[in-house]
Amino acid sequence: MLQTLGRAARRVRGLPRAATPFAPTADDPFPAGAHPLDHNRSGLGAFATRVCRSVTEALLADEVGGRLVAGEPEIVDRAVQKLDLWLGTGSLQLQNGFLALCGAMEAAPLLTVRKASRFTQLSLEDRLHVLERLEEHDNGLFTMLLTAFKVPLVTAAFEEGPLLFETGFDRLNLIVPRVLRREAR
Amino acid sequence: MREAIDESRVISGRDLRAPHEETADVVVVGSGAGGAVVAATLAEAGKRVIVVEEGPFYRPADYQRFAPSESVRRMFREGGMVLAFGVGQTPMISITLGRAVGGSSLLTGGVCFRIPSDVHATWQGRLGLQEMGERSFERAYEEVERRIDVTEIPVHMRSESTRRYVEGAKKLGIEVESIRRNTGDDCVGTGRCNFTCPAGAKRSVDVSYLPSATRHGATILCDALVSGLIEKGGRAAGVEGKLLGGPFGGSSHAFKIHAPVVVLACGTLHTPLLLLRAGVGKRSNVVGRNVTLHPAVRIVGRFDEAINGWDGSLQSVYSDHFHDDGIKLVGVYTAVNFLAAGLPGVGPALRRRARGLGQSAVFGAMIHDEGGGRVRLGPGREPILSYEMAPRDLARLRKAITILAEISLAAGAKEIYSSAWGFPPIRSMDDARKMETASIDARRIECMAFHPLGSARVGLDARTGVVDQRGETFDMPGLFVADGSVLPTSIGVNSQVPIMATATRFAWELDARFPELRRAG
Repeated sequence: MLQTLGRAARRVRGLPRAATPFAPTADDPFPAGAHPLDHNRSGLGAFATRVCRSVTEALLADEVGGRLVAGEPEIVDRAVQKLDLWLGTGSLQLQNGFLALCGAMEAAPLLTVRKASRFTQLSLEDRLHVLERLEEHDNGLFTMLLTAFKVPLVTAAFEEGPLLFETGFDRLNLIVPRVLRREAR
Repeated sequence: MREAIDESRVISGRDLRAPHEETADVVVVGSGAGGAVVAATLAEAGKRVIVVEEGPFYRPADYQRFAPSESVRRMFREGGMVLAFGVGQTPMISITLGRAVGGSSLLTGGVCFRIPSDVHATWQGRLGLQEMGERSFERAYEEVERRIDVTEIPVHMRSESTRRYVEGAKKLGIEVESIRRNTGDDCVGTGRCNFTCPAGAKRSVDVSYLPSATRHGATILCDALVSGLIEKGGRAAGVEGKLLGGPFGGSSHAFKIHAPVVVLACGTLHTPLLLLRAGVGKRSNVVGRNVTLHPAVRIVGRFDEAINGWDGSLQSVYSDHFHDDGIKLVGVYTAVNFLAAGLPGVGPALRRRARGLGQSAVFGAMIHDEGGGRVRLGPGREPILSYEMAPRDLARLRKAITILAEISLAAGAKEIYSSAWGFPPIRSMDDARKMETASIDARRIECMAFHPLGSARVGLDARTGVVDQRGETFDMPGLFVADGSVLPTSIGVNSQVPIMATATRFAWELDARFPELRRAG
């Protein structure tokens, strides 16, 4: 029964489809989708991608000159694309579970700030407010909903590029081994 | 010593274009810490061994150049998104499991502990498992530690994050000791061991045991999912399943491996699936039950000055000061992008805190839990793990957070981000103590587990356990289990060496009994 429902959900979402892999570079020879053993199955349908992009813009929003601005579009796109490939490696159970979470996120404005609107239709300020309410909610299930998005998306966003170096990280990237000074060995 | 697997002995289910059938002396399901040890030990003893692994085979030269999230995506089960579903007042616990040739050993922090003496004593005394005593394990521990090059992490390899931890602990009168790890003298302190070691220092089983297994004739069949056991006359006679050569890793052709001895080493979450499907363990009704996890928490302390905690060994110290409370303190770190994801706040608050990661130290702890977990067959290929934390364990977890915050403050941290999502940062000892008693829904606590154990435990008979003290199942002769699922209670320490030592003992016993097992098969 559950398997049948799972298969039906997959048909509704139009999956699987191949996602665009990232291009290898000398510094990162095997980015997402670029290893010969990568299957490159997509884990997010159009609906889930839209929700994830909307969440990521708010998660990575920053204040510039006193104004709230959404996360940088290329970083947002990369994070969502990585999550797409990430979920694509998981089981159907995992993908359907995440799809359900996307539905819950769309309904989160009603549950947290009593606003009858879908999450993806809110302004950036309102989306941020909803995410804050989820994180601070007394009921841990709401916090878990935020965490399910925050952990994979923030992990992908801070893995390379400007956000990695914003942390103060001072090596070339997270792949190269540390060079140990001779006297330290 | 690091060696390479003989790739001519590796067959990938992706490459096979027809159903596959083979015969061996021993078929081992799973190539992690348990399976690799059994495979190498028996191959070295002259047995024809086939190892079946669901995950793919990545060469070390490749996986050493994976970014952290790519290691998670490619080598962690379910892309690192395995959860223990908390029942009642229990956090949702994220569980890390490997799914590749080498299993979780590729993804551990490399920390090596033996099973504590008091745990061995409990197994012998309270549970009556006379062969599970410390002395019975001694030779196996020595063998494992030699093969994976276990050495103590020198003081100069400690990161500044760990130095702060030690300093804070010392101010509070908490003794701290150096950790032993399986990196020989090769660790350069890249600080991301859980996502494979870029320097190739870690002696995971794909560079320590499986090379010897393949050199002695063992075959590794990877990208092959075992779905059931072959039974003949009430005895185990092999395994069957599907090759994962279809589109997107789906099944392609069937395979069968016939062998008079079958060793399951798929880990605490997946071994029970095969046992349950085969009807093994019905009498005891303990298959899949009593799972222990060693739930772990961490806190991030922000200091005024640069810490750059990413320079240094990921884990280099521990403390048993709170052993009687069931709490083990451990120095930890992780890749900086994963640290950012664990910081509280969203939007500008998150960005601001992430900019302070260079001034942040990370302190961790894990608890010695009661077996509150249960593995069940799921609707798809993955099991469902539920976990009900005992009230005592939840109290321990919260006490651990407070202790870590106190250590951090004593070390000079100005602001502490605890494991409780959405809680304001801790800035004083008073705040830290209030955390222990504050009303918090347990599901708001960020919790991880790295050592699921105990779902097919050793027992004296079929009423109390699934396998005997030599690893053979009570219900199906010729079927053995050699992974963390056999450990009968929580052990309170990192499980890699305990699993490997247990597997070593079982493999020695199995080798000695092999003529008898082959005749019976």
